[in-house]
Amino acid sequence: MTPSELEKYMLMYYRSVYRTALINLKNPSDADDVAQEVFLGLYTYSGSFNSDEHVRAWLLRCAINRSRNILRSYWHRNSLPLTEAEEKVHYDDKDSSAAPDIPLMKLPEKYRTALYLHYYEGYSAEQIAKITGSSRSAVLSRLMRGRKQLAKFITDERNEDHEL
Amino acid sequence: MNYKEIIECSVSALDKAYPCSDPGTALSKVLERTENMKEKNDGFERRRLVEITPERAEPKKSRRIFTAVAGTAAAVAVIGGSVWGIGYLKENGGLKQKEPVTSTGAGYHETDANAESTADIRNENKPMFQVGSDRDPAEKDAGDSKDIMEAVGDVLEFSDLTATIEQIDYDGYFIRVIYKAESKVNANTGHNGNIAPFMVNFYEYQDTVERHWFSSYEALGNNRFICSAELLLDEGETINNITFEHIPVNVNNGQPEHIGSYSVTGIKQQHIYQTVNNSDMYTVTVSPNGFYIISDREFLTDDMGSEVTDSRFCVIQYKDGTEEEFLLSAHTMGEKIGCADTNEDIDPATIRTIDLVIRKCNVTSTDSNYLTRFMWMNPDQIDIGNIAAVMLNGERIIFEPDASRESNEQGDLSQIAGIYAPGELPYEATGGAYEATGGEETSGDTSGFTLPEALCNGNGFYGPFLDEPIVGDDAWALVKERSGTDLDYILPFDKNLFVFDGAEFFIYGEADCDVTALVGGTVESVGYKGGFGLSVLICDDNGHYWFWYHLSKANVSEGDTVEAGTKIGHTGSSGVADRQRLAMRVG
Repeated sequence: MTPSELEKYMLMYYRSVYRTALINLKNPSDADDVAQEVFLGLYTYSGSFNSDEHVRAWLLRCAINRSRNILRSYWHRNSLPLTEAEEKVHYDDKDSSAAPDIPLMKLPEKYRTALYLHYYEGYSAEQIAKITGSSRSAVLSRLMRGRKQLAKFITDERNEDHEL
Repeated sequence: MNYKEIIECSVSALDKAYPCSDPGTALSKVLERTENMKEKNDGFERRRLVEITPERAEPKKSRRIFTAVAGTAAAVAVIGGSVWGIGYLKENGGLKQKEPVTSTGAGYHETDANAESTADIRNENKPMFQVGSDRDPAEKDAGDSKDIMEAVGDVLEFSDLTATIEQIDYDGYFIRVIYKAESKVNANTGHNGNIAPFMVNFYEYQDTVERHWFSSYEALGNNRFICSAELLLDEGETINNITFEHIPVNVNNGQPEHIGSYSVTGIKQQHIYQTVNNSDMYTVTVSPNGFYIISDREFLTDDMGSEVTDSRFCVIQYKDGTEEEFLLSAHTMGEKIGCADTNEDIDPATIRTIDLVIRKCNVTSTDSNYLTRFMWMNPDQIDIGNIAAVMLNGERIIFEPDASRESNEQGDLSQIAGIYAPGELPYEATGGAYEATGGEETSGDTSGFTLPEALCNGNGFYGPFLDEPIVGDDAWALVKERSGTDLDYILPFDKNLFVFDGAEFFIYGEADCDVTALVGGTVESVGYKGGFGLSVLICDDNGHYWFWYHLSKANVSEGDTVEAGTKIGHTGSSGVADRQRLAMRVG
């Protein structure tokens, strides 16, 4: 791939890749790293693509896989730089009450990813299954559960507002 | 507001809170990293040439294998009686052993190239590579390397353990070495008795390159281990100068020790071997050695480039019929049954089955994650409980015994074999005991023994339960699923570590509780026994020995008479224990 092609794809898809990683990782600096690594992989990738859409799917798939690698790494799960500790707390699923007040980000990762890819990136369940390495039924299940949880969050939020 | 709008609003808020860096800036960084990577790749390619061209491998004179300590030489003397030089030369189609050389106690030794014995030792006197007698692997040429497949039976003498290689498998993807390790606890090492975690790593020396491939091991029980490694070689490609590496515990200043010189030749990779699970979730196949699970899923094809590594999944089927899969970070003992990506806790009461799956891609990667695997045994991270004893990949663990478990007829012990969640133990705490009289496949002594009605008041899983008492030099134990299907789970019986013959009823679970004698008897011994740590051995009136180990404290003394219910100690993590746990064997 030539630098100009890389530039083209970065302009087209960098934000999507970054956002996908961010939704997975809940950490902007990690997401940035992942996005760069994904495009680094694209740049050095020797295979061919059928279309721009194929490139996009490939990039998102790589972003998810790389994010998962980070999430599952021992280091990631067992370390917290002191300088980032305070910031990190706000991303931590374990304390959802302190998470950013964004409904999507309150969901478990797999639901976030499925909902994001479906409703924002416009992928079908079958396409999401290929991207995430899951079965179609699993994706449908995640979409359903994600929607259910999302609705619950919003309902709870409204009720709280109402009480206030 | 519909869901699409909610997601769009969320993404918009996310973009605002954590804005994406400018793609142009990112492009510069990517291009810069590409340049850096190219430089590294150039170097890598050069190294590859060296690696696959043995004659170019220059001796690395400065390499020191390890620094032997005074105790090492003594240990060698005790075990071997003599110290041997490097084990093998291939000559005239046979394996020749060099004459023993004398250890000087430090560093590796130059061996006398002329001092060769003509004895063919393929069928006798398996080589014993001694600590301190191994010369620098980098100084061997390709001809010195012995095919690793011929290493079965080799005895590797490290400072703190002796490893006997029992089996080697290679299927083109993975190489697996099963070895039995015996601790040199209290021999001459003087360390604290812990030999865990230990592993034998493969290491290749070439010029300036030290390829350190492998760091994965799994315990099989009774000091048997599987050391496994990913080894993707082209068919016919040979790599020489591979050594076994082991980092001793508390001896030799923790310096890695390297023994042997082997070669590995790539074979044709086989893709599909045996389908072990075929559901709408995935199709899993297992390699011939029954250990690694390989998926033939589409997403694992080469078009993923170097991005996909191996992925471990845990597929949980709930009692309501739904299934979920979770990405795992490790496997076997100490497994976290939960998911790293959601931090969700799972209520064990809702689980019907758990399948552990490894999806393996057939791609080469320079990603460090690809080459590094580790055991994760952080007890703080265990949500449901640790998986008892050995769990092989792909093995199904039953959490929800069906109604038939209530059967307690004689000879029906296989019906309760399995691993159960707390509260789902296949017997009533106050109910009658199960009695095993051996099954149809039993050989040897089939006299049964009665399992006690209560085993522990701690939390954790129990099992696998053993049936079919077998006595003899080759004593071993079968563990069966409730269906009666053999899991090929073998608990080799080490007579050096146990004072009795017979079957083992094996309990292994995480627990913080007092250890209570389950039957009355006489305390035969109390004290530390190697990797078992602080242990109490009780002989009951029927002649069965009850061996409790990994204790933190013992309340009884040798010669004491105890009754059922007597508190004999407390669970702990002494010996080779990764965490506080209840461990007992009876036979």
